[in-house]
Amino acid sequence: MPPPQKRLERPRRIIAVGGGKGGIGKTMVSANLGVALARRGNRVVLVDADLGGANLHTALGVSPPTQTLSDFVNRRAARIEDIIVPSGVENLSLIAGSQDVLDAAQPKYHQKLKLLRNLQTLDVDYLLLDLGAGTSLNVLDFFLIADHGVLVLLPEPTSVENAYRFVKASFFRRLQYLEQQYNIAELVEDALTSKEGALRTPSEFVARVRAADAALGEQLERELKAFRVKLVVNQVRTPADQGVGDAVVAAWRKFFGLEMDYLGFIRYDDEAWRAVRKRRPVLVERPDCEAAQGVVRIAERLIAQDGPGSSHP
Amino acid sequence: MTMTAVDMKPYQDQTYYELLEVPVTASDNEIRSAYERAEELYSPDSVAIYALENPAQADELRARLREAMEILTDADLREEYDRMIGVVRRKGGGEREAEAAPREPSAAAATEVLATPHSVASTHPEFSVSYVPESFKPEPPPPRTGESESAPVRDAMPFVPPPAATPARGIDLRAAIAQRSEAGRAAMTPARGMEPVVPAEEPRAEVRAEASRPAMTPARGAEIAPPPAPLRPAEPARAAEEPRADAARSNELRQSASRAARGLEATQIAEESAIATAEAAMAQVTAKVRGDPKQPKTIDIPPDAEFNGELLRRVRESRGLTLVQVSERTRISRSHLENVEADRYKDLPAAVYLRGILMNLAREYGLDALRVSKSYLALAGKKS
Repeated sequence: MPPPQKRLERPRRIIAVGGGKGGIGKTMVSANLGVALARRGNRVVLVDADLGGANLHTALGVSPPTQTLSDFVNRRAARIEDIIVPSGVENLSLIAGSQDVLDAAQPKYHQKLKLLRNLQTLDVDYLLLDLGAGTSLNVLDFFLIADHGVLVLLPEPTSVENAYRFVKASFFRRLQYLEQQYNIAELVEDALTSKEGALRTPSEFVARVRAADAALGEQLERELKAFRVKLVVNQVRTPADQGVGDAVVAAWRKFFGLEMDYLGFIRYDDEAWRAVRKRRPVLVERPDCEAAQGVVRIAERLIAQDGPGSSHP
Repeated sequence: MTMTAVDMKPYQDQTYYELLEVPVTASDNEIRSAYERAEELYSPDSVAIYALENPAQADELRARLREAMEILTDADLREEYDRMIGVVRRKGGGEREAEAAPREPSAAAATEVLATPHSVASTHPEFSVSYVPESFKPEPPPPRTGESESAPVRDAMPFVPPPAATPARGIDLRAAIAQRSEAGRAAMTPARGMEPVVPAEEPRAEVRAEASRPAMTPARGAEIAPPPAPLRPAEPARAAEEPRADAARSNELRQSASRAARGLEATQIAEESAIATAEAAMAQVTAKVRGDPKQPKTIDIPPDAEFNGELLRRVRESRGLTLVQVSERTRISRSHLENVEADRYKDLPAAVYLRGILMNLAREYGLDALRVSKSYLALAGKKS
């Protein structure tokens, strides 16, 4: 990638693509979302943040990269820009995941901080993070630095269950951040443990904090409400499958009192499957198929959420 | 919706309108279709529901949604409910024109304080306290026209709903059933005023037209205790005659709510009034919805009976129902049912949920849902 020629005046956007479960299409969504955003004229860097099972390069049809995240983390590469490789799609570049067998999935804390900080300085329109499965702190921390936390799920009980687990875990991780930020560790601790050992809902928690400190409670509530996960339902086969997204959003609101955005769904599509076999993004291989169209709609919605100033001039 | 402080609330804290996600101006049809949507959305086999919360909570949500639909699609009950949460409606040209007198948040907060003071007060006192000062900003007291809460104005009220509000204390079930079977005008006898039963076979409109009357009939000679007059600030009064009554009423409500925040005694008052109002509503709903109450086999429930697990078990057995059957019909889990009947308070869910379970159960048995839940919760509170 050529060094940036000019300063960007608009804020960069970071999109993280996660989901509690493996095999639900996080990498497929990330890769194709990257292509869709790049085709709209945005400069996009895709980051394979699946620390233990990197394969984004395969989804893009890029040969196993010589430079990866681990080169940067272990100081073999000085600058994060040095490990960016082209993806074969205009405007779209890749930071490949670590191929190391050991230690890659568990970077030390300071390594992770350095990585996060450096990623946030990249001069691009969209930084797209493809996360690994599970709810480890590494995954959650990447998810939480994003402007758009995209949650992929399949319309299947196992996937939905893991998705909720993932959102709850992210929510509590975010609460931990706020706890440090506002120096309210004791208050949080108290609210989390005083009633039957567990917090039932975020609103209950806020009410407790507010009882102790009204202004703080309000501020905290504003922060917690900003936690809006964006939902993508993948491999939709029936109208009922399509409705799962709405139902999850509604249930999250009813039971947790928090909002989610339903970005859209991607149809189950043999073309998508064929594209994976060919190691090509379906958006490149068959841009007119239903799955590809689903991704394009989702990309458009994200762009729309970022406002008119965010598309590349 | 704006990001106001009270926005973030789970279903337990939502008004009926918020539950169904309809505006306060929604028509009956809109409410019904919203309910149908919700029913589908939160159906027990929905993949989105089962993993998020435990089944009992999902059942509770569904029960509340049904309750919301039932109350909001009944003109009288809706009017009463609106008054309770502070929604003011002007009646004109048959069209429902409504304005939320206090903005929705405070209306909602009023519900929080008034509609469930029971559970709120008992399980998380700081919850209500923390909300009240915010939502009930000082307001000028409403101009009082001589009457005070403690001076019962019932006789002068043309529009008091049937002492439905009177928790049907002292009603002998058999007597009640007998009353129910006397259709039509017979129901208009003074005694009927005590039992808010609308015979199912009577056309709705007719009932509605007459509904306000029996209320006026002082409930003399009945075996029922007089309504707890001083404890009924939420009672809708003179709505028909005084255009400003609604506003005054909601002020009164808010006042009583803020009093509730101030002291224990006041809390008691607000609680009682809310219960009375809710009881009225529920009793009516129960009566109307179950037009054909199951004919119970004879079981004596004395007027002052305490509804403990033992009594509930006897009622169930008198209906010839097994635990499994009740569980299937009410969607209350079998273990909850067993724990209720065995008075194992410690194994039962928090009061908020227990209340819903008990009401659901009582409705299934054709009992006064509020009387049962109140009585049972009182026992649970004492002994746990």
